[in-house]
Amino acid sequence: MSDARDEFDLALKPTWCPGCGDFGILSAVKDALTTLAISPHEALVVSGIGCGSKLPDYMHANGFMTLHGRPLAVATGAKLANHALHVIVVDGDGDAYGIGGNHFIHTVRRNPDITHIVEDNQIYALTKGQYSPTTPQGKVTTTSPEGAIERPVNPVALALAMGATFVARGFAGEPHHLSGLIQLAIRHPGYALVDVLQPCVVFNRAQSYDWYRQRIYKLEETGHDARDPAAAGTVAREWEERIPIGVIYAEEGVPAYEAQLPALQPGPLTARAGPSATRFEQLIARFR
Amino acid sequence: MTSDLSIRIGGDAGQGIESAGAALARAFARSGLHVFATQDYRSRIRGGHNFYQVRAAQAAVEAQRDPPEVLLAFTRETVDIHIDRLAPGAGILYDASLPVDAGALHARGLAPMPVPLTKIAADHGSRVMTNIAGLGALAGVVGFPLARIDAVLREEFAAKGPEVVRPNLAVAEAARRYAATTYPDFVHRVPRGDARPRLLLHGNHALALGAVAAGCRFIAAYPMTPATTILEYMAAIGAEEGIVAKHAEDEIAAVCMAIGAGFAGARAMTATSGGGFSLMAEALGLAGMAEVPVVIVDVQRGGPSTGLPTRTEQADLLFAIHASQGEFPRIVLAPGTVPECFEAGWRAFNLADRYQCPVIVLSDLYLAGSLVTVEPVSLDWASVEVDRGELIDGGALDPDADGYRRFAITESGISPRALPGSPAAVYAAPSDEHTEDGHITEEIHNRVAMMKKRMRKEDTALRNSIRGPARYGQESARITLVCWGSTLGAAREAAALLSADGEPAAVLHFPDLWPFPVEAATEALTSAGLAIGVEQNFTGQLAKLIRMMTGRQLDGRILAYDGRPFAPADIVQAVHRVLAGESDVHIEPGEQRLPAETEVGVNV
Amino acid sequence: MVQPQLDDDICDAVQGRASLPGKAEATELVQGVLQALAYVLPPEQIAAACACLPGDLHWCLRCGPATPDPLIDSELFLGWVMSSLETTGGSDRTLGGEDPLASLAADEARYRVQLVLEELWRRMDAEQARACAACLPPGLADAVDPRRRK
Repeated sequence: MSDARDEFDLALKPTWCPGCGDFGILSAVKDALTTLAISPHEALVVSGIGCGSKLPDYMHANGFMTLHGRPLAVATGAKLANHALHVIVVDGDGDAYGIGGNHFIHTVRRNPDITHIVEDNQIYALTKGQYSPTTPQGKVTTTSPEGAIERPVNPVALALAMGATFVARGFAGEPHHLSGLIQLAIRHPGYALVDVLQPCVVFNRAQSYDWYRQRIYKLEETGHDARDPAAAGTVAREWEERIPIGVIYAEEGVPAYEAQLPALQPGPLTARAGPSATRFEQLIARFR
Repeated sequence: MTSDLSIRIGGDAGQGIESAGAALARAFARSGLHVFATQDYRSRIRGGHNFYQVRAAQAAVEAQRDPPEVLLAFTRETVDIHIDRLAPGAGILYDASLPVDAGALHARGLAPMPVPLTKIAADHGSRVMTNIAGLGALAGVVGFPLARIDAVLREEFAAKGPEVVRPNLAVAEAARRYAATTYPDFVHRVPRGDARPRLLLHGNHALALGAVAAGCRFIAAYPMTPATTILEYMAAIGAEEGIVAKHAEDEIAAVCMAIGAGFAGARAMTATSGGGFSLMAEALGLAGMAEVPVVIVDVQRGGPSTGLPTRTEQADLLFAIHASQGEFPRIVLAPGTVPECFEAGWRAFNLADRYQCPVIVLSDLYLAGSLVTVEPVSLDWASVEVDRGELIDGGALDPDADGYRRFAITESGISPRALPGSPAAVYAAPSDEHTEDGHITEEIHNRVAMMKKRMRKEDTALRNSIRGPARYGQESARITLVCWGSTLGAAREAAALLSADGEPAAVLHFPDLWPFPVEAATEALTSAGLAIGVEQNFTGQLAKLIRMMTGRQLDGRILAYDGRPFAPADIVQAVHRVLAGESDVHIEPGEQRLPAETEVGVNV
Repeated sequence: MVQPQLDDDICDAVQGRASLPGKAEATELVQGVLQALAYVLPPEQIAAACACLPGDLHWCLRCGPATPDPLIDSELFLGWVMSSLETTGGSDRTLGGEDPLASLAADEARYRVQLVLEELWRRMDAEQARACAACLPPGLADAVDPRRRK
């Protein structure tokens, strides 16, 4: 390993279960940042609450571990305050698609330059095994003893429906491939979703590494045109038999939210003081 | 000539009541009169009775005054509703086409003054200018120079071009001429102003201006009456002043965005009313735990739940002090006047930065929406201090040192704060309990030390920044009206009325409510005489807080929860009831119940 | 050094050494470890490992990416066997949910991975075994160093 990669390392040992997909996601995030030559102080990793949302605690970078479901909103505020930071949100399927579903929908259509990595293990793991918004129908958990009744959220299709400009899906068992997706997501100048298929080896034993391995295929090996919304829509609906990973949709030329704010043209807000006496006097004069 | 005139303009929502009232208020203010203008409206866009009240006086005024001497009625219902609430001899201007029984008004000692407002509007412009005709007629009967109103209208309609301005002015002049010649002897005349320039604005704009002056660069909010104008104002000036004003998807997002911006280092705020503030409760704790400076404005309205969306109340005090699970430092301010709103607007940011915690500013609909004249010196840029507290330059930190301890345990409880972006100041802030360098832990000694560290900030704030109650009025008062927030104006006028009436009275007003200034409050209450709480809530929340924090039980409580602002006369009357032996006085509706079967009765 | 006995069934050997009650579980374990190896071994080592294993297990070693994934660490490697281990002890009556045995299961998983790898090394020549072990994620290689095998 290079010295640069070690930049993000901490001596702290994650409290994740052995075999947890979060290890792969953490490796991929650190590798992506290293490959893009982004330093720890230039990145801000914002998370929610859940197993995977402890990720910022296990790497050396600016971080903010916020509330369950709210990291997108916090990250949006941070990005608007200092758009020089590379803002990455890491949260779980409960965070992103359940309690934070409203923020997910509106952040997608808002299109801030934020990379959103969802550790989608289809289960509530930190609370020890309840069904999540992406849990398959019929799955028995402690809160769905007769099997989950609701249809699962299809996050990639939902993101496309909301006008997402970058939608990808990765697999925690292939962190190198995932790192590549995260790099593309970070480089995408707008909101970028990377939904990560993440085995939970303790509470969701059905969707194991092997289960995913049998089903996943890489879009880049099929000639999929990620610029084609219709093709994206088709592959976004694939599940069960064949599950695509890779870039599902990437739309170029859409300016990020913050790029369209006149207030941010002179640079990040954090660097600016209040108005001068003259300017303030002009504001006050309108109340005469 | 009277020195203090109140004019009420009533009609249906959508009849231009607000624009007419606000234009009149501005014209009065520009003539050098002191103005207090407030709107009484309901949560609907069209239909339903609304009224606007403008008070113009030669001396400074801080509250509305009832009963008014003039009523401009655009509907017959307006006459019916307000007939019991007018001063003796009050004039009633109304459209001559309305089925109003002038004889009955005469019999009550009122002065009916029908003017063909709709016809004049139609003849000189169009029927939609009836409200302008009303303004013209009003100027005619109270003897106010129409040129002042014309100037305001010209500005108002400037963007729409001269073809809109001209007929409006023609309508106003025709109505004025008609009214002045038909009713030349109306006794209530508008006082003469001193022509000194003053500002006319409401609490929300003053608060927003304070925030702007403090260098607030970010506001995220979700529209909610009566806080909306704060976001709207910031959005309107955002592009030119370099402020991001984000209309968020909900109040949870709004406060979280503000916390994110505050974490990154921008001075950030949100503004809402009680319902939105309820949604923000969890995030309040996040700001407390992660020690992020953020300013949250709660412009209170009648609760609970949707409650009285367009009416005023002060019932969020104990909620603001206790909202969110667990314990963490917070600061709660409650400005009482428009100038105090401006000061709270900038001071809140200093306190948030200094103590790295959420600062809640409690305002209310009455303060937020009432237009008041203030001396320009009250909103002086030079009076604004900007103190970012222990903000350190991360670039100056030693990158080879043993790691930046964002949550370092200090005597004051305040940990030097570096913003994200410096190589030597890299850390992660958790909403979980954490170590000095920001790592999640449940270790027992760390927990105890961290709780003490954070809570020490309240002690430090109390020592260095929190203001005790302000005392107004007679030195040796027999009665002290104890209040907070916008009740100040009415309480001060009530105290003056009581004092003039031989009952020396003072006012004790708490501008800072948390951390509670225990010592100052105890001392002030020792020499208060009969201490009577005056609050717009059912349970006497300030009185409870005082008792909780000082052990002092107030001698009486005057409580209103009808959604209508206190009028000084209400308070005087209630004080007399306390003096007569009642400990709790609940303000009862002063007027007759309107017939429920009419639309008016249901919708009032 | 004992030459690998190619006709000695690796799954039987693992079942015996790990005291697993059934052959199916042993097979699943062996397949899990081999699949994990498929993601970290380069093609030559894959070929060498296949050469000493029965054909019905070759798919496991050939299911990975074209080149090894350098980001797989010892923790992630264990994921391939954790799903076939019992990891919840029952329902948690104090705080709700299931009661995870993840920590105990980790030791068991590491032990089982070690057994499979030892059985595999045993079937390979020492040079090849060392080359394979060198490709394992750091934490894991230390635990199953072929030079320290019996």
